Amino acid sequence: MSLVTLQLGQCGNQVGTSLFNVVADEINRQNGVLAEDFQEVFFRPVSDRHSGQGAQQHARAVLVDMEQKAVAAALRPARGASWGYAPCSSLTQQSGSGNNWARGYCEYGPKHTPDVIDLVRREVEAADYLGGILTLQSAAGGTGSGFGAAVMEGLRDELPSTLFLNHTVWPFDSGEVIVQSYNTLLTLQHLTASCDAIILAENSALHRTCQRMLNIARPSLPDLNGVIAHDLASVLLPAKVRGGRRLSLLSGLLVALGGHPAYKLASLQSVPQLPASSVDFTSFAWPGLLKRLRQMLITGAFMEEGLDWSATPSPHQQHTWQRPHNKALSALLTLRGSGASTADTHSFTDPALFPSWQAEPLTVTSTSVPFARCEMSASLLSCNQACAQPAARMQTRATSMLAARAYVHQYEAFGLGLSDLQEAVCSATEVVGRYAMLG
Amino acid sequence: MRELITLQVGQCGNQIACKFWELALREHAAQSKRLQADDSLSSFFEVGDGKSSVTSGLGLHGGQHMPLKARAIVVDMEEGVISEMLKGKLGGLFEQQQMLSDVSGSGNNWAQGHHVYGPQYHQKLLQRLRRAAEACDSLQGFFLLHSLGGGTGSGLGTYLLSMLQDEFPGILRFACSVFPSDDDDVVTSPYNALLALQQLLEHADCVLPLENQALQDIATRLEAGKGGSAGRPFDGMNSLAAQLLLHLTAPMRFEGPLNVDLNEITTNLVPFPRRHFLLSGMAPFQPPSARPSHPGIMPSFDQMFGAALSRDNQLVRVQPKQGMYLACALLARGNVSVGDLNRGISRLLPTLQVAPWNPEPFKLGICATPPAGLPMSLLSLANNSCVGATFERMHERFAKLYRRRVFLHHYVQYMPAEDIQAASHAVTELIHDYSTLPRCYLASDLPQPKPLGLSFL
Repeated sequence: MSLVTLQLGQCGNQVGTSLFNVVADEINRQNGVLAEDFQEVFFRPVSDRHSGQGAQQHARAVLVDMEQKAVAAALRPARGASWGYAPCSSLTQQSGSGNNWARGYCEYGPKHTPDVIDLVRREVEAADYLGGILTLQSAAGGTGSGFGAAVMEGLRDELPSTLFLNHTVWPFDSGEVIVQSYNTLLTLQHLTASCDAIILAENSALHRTCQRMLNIARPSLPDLNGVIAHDLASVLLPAKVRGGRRLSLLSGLLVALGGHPAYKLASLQSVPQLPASSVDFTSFAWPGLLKRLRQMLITGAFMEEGLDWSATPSPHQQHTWQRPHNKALSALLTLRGSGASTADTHSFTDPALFPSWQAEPLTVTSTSVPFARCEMSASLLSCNQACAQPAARMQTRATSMLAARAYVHQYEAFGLGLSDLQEAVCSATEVVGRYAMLG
Repeated sequence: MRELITLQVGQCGNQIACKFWELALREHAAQSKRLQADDSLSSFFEVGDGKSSVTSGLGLHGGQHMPLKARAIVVDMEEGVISEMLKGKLGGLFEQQQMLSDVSGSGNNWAQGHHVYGPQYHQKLLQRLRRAAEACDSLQGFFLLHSLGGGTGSGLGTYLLSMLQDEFPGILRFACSVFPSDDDDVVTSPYNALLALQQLLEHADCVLPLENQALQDIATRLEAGKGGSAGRPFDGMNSLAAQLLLHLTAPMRFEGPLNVDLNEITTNLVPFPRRHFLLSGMAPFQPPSARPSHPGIMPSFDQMFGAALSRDNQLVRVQPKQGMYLACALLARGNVSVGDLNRGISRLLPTLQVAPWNPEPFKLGICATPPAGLPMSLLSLANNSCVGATFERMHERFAKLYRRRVFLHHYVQYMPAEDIQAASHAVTELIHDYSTLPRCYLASDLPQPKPLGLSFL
């Protein structure tokens, strides 16, 4: 089973490169045991006539950017790397989308979507059995978000029965891009319509994690991407459902997420968060790890330190003295390492964590193969209330910007009117409201 | 390969351009040791098969001699500056087909430049523009370098802008415009500046105003710091304008963790179409002389951050902290991380007035390649309502003459008098746009939407 990755925009391409690096490292480390299994998911062997030079395997990926530099950097072969991108798997243009969602969607979308679909189809055909398509992008820019939305819609039409998992990087609150509130809401509106699930990762949370947990004083964007790649790999690498079959890629993952059409936003949390240098000096124990992960779910935190331990779940939230906690619609708990199959996950089955109408909210998968050199590690992919929090903040920002009619002319220039922007804000309000109702 | 075409018009424009080409070459030489024909080089230069090489003339230790041609259109209605430039060390950069000159000058008259020379040379200009554009793989934008006070730069320069709008509608038009100082030695400069300003308002995508007085102040400060002045008086000032252009285009030309294209600048910094005048400030300034600077005391990142947004380092004489920031781009070069920029922003934000609908109005860019001779630099481009004050001063000086109809006959012989009235109106309106900004969107006027639900967070 294989997974085809579509990297969109500067951010998507950087995250994708990190992801394949993490996965390739894991494969090298395992040296045989399950390596072939892993390998098949993300890589395909290079056909004979090309071998002898460069990488022995190519990532199952398509690289897309409306500008050249990011893709060129990704394609440049790293010294000693065991993998590479296929040289003809990329599409670039010259002039970028200029942070303008409308430009990516309305101008580049119709023009270049067919070419991207062709590239994706080539990768899909190279796979024996397609497990789904993973798309990586940011929400703030113009290419990943705007052009990405158009591509997703095109792919959805072209491959109607394929599953799409999207990973979107949410911008810093202080803003990398001034028009990010419009761009993110437009992205959200379109992705919720065309993807099966959207994992959001907030740059500010990633940045804090790098600083506090990974001991990086001045985290750079590659450091942040490393965290994303680590988290993504921890759920995407194969694992078995407790006492049963292998979790089939994406379909199993999406079923575990609930597959509710109104709740597509998901978040990804993992423990332990350690700098690579201290892994060797850390002792691991399942109860401690899972306790922290559970509290991260309850408080909606991304970082395993500084958790609010006073928050406790209770089935009776109507009592006002009780602090409300973060409820999840459903969750997929992945355990990796020694004793993973027998670790006690009882605390996650607490009905108070989930809405009362949810019948089977928790799926646990495990594998004895350790991940990222940690003896034990766990990650939680869940659809919970905190996922809508970034959208709620952005929606407030966009509303006041829209009231001042600021930047509207930039979108109008490419055929996206005031009403389209208003619609995006409304759709975000709807999503936020629905997540609030989970409680 | 993404290219930019520079249009250097008039005496001032050509002088800035001279400095600009010199610094651009030095930057590329410093970046790659051997001046290589790479993508970043091709954004400003055409690597052709010309006969002479400029690298040796600049004392650059570029091993091979590479025939480079500047992607530029050189226009002046006098011959002096151009012929001097051709004789100089940069002469090899230009070819006769890129130039357009006359002998008589525009007589410091905007109307003569715009309404006489414009139509007269329309075909020739177009031919040169097309030739330059055809040499490009993917043309990104035009940079107009000119001053507003004279006749050629302001009149013919703005004529060129409107031509570009007709002929190359999708391509960005940036104008680097030198505004005349209060005590300008050209008596008709108030008329010229006002008439040109109206054109910039209508035909440019982005205007980077530079004020002679501000440039001079900074240049004097730098000279004083070095102890003893060297070089020509305008050298330091022109070098400031040239650095602005280099920093602005750096994240587009070179690789970095956070690239910024020129079209991102316009998307992020122009919230309302008519308010496209960007206040620029930077730190640190490159030393004006060609020899490498002392490795002496380098300011820390935080000092640099504060300086780039301080009043003293703005290229227009205004009070940025008293105006309202509508949007601001921070383009860093060198070893800078996003965290550094965010830290700087969080420290600075409480001291700034920002538009209530845009509480954190920052666009960030990081380019890994530092400027020549410096470890890092920061350019801030701000859409700040305080530039309105500059326009107000300009309009006052114009009104003083216009009320008495002084010098008006020089203009009326080339253009209808109503156009002058119309320009005055347009500029008054622009001033009004800027001055009413703070009042029309006060935070209390807006319904503050409450965040929905999610009270546990």
